[in-house]
Amino acid sequence: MTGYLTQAFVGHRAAIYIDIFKMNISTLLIGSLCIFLGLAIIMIQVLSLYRRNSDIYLGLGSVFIGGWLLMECNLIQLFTPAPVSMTYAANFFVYLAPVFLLLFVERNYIVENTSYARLMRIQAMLHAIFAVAAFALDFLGLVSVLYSVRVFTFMFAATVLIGVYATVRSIIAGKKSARILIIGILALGISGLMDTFLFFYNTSQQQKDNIVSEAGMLVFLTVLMINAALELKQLYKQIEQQSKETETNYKSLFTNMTDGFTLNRLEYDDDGHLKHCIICEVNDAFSEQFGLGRDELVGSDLLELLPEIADICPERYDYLDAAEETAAVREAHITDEAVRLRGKWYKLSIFFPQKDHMSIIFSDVTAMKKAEETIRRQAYTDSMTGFCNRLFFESEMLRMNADLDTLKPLSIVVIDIDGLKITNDTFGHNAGDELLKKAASIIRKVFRNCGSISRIGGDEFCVLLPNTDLKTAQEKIEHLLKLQNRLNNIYSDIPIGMSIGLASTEESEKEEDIYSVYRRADDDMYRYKIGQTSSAKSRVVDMLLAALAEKDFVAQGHVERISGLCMQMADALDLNEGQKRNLLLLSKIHDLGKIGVPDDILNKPGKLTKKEFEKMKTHVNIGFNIASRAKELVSVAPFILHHHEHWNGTGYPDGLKGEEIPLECRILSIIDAYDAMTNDRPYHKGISVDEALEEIQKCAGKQFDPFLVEKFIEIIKGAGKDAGGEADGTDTADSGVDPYDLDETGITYTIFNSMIDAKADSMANGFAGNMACGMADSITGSPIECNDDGTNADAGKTDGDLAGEYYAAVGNSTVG
Amino acid sequence: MFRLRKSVIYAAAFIAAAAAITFGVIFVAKLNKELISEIPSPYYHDKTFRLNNWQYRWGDSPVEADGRFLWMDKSYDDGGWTDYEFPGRPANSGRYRSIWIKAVLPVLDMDHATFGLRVTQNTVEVYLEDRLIYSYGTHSISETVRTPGSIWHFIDLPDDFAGKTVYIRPAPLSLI
Repeated sequence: MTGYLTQAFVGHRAAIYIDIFKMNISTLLIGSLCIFLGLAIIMIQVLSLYRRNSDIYLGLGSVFIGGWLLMECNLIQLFTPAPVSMTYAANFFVYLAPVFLLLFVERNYIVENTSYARLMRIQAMLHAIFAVAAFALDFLGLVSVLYSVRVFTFMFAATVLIGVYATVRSIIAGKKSARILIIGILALGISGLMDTFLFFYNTSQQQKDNIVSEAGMLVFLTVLMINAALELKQLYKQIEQQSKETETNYKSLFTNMTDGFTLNRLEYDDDGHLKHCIICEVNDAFSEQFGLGRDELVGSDLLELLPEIADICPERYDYLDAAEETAAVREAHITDEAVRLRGKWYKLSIFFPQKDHMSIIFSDVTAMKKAEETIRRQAYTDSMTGFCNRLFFESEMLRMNADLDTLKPLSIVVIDIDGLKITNDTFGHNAGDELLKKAASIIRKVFRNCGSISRIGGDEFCVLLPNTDLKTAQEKIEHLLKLQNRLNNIYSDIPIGMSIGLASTEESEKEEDIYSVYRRADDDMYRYKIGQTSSAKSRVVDMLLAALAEKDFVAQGHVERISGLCMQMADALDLNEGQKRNLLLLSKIHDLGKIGVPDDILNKPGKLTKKEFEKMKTHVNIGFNIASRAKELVSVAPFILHHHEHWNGTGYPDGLKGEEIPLECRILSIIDAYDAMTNDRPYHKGISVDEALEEIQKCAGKQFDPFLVEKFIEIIKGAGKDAGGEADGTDTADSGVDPYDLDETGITYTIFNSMIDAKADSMANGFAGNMACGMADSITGSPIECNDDGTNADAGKTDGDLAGEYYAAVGNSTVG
Repeated sequence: MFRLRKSVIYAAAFIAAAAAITFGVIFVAKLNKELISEIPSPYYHDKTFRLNNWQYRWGDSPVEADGRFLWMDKSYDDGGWTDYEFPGRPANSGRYRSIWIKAVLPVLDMDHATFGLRVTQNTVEVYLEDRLIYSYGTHSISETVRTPGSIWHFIDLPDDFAGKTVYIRPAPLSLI
């Protein structure tokens, strides 16, 4: 190519420049356009606006072709200080452009994994290797790039042929998209080859500047643009379809979501404060939640509909007003706490989709809230009384202690319900629960408006009275006691007994915490309890006797009489004080167990069947059980169990005989029989003392202890004829024994009052029964026990057989 | 779809603007620096002259005893020069790898005239009559195999260039 001079001018340089510019403007524009399109395609790929990775090869190929044109462009070389580097750059671009174009065509237009597809990939690889090798050899000073151009010419020719071949094969194979490409490839190939041919071999013809190659580039670019347009059109359709689907899906979600949704436009006053929240759109769920139609809602002010909204996130409104569209503004805010709106609870998700717009999702959490409330209430509430429980009490103590200064004067009342345990044990938990509820009702009435009431133990309550002085607290307690007494007077069932303690911060001059005050109140309550023990003991027995007297027609006066006789016998036998006390108590409560015998058996006027009698006999066991559970009565529990044993071993429940039977029981059985015989009953008239003593004498050694019978007869005869009728409770005092001084702790009258109630309630828990049967069982039961021949003495009796009843009381010897 | 359109428009605008600014700045700056400030306004337009009366001669000129090239001697006319139209290429050299090209410069009423020519992949020496006024590259094929490039050469002509003959002696660097 020696001597190849493409341009030569003489003139002013400026004019030459302008001429050169004019001559090369087309190359400049085409090259720039190629680069522009290539960069646009690459950028779209890099930004991932749409994904078809092979298109990046098209972008690179276009850029490299454009680069080649620009580097070859005389205009660019004119202005560069290193024009030789432009030549290198031109070669670099033109060597590598086929690599990308081959890959692009192979990926998009050629049937995949065919032999000609592989051929194209191999060709692309060869181009790349060639480019690297050519420049390496040049830099090493071995072979000039200038010489590699001819090799490239043949490689490019092969590439075009391969491209055409593969494209045609793909078109035949049904790859429709390849049809348009064939034009571009052919144009590029032909123009490139012609250009090369003219460059090297046209020695005579006048050569225009790159006209042929530029024409090929134009065709190729046209193909690319058409291709790009088709791609974009297809992409647009695809995106439009996706958009429609997305819109449909979102609309479906929006409409069908169970949570309410509103889109609102925010309007502010001149000061920037939120003024209106105009509803732009709502979904069906929101309409249902608030009972308004969409037409009514859209355009209305949400703040008027739900004023609470304004209070929920005013800061966010201000924040929105102050801020521009930032990510933080658009971020959703979910209310931490449920909000009560129109009677229901909602969790709100608030977010800002655009400036001055706010969306709210209303999630109805009413059911969850109620469940939470229930759980919280259950966690902190005593289900029995409705008061707070120990857990809450402790948290309240903690809270109040931290804030004690503001709560002063603070008073604490500790209330202990007397006799709850024994009530539970003897009458069952239902009775105990009733007792608790009654006590709770009056405690609530007194303290509900001024303090925090907690049940801190099984039978213990504590009332925390903040900002309440000692005097006020005492008045409250007095009120409580009045209510207690009034209630006990009105209702005969389960009377309430309370031990109450009080302490206040006023009482202490030095600083003390709330726990100290509580301890003082607790101590005060125990002092109160101890202080009333004595009288409580009296009430225990009083209530027991009252119960027996009220329920048992036989018991009227009976207890007092036998108590007196018992004391006389005790004196005569020179019993110690303990024995005397037990004997006296036994005389009063020996038939306590009848509380557990059904009414129909106790009140049966006629004879008992064997089965009924077996049931009747259980009263000794029941009495034993009750007495065993009460500290006050435990000492006489064995005597209650054995007071129906007979000297000869025919009694019940254990068939003890002789002196195996406790002395107190042996004494009581004689006196009991004597009293039964000598006093009138509704169904028989009492016999004389002598007759009675005679009958007792007959039973000595059988039913009764002979020695004691002898002693008893002596006492009766020595005391006069009216000994059985007059020796009532007054003798008790004479005995020097306080019958009520049962033990150290005592038991409140409440317990036994409750026992009385058991009859009225006819409770079915095993203790229900009629205490009124009184001593009748000793009449109805004994004949069977005392029958000498072992037969049922009642078998021949008729209903209302008073004689039988009478004899049964003293033994069967007379009726045998 | 909206985001895609927006982004594509932004990208296209960015690239177009960058390209336009780049080329614009380069061109205007160069033009301003080299042309407008130096060249009197009357010479801006239609003041170029394309040399068409070219002659070439394959081979290299013999050198006379005084060191001058024989082919520059106007008295020496052996009919070895061949006319051809420019731009274009002389007919194939055959066995020759060297060539001389000459033309007579036009008579122009012009100060600061420039002789501009583009040589493709050759080093070059330019003589005005018998005086070397420009050279590019090493005039030897043995020193380097690197490409000399295809570049423009601009040679300031002396004021008395009118009617004188310019000789171009490209380097026979390439084998092709």
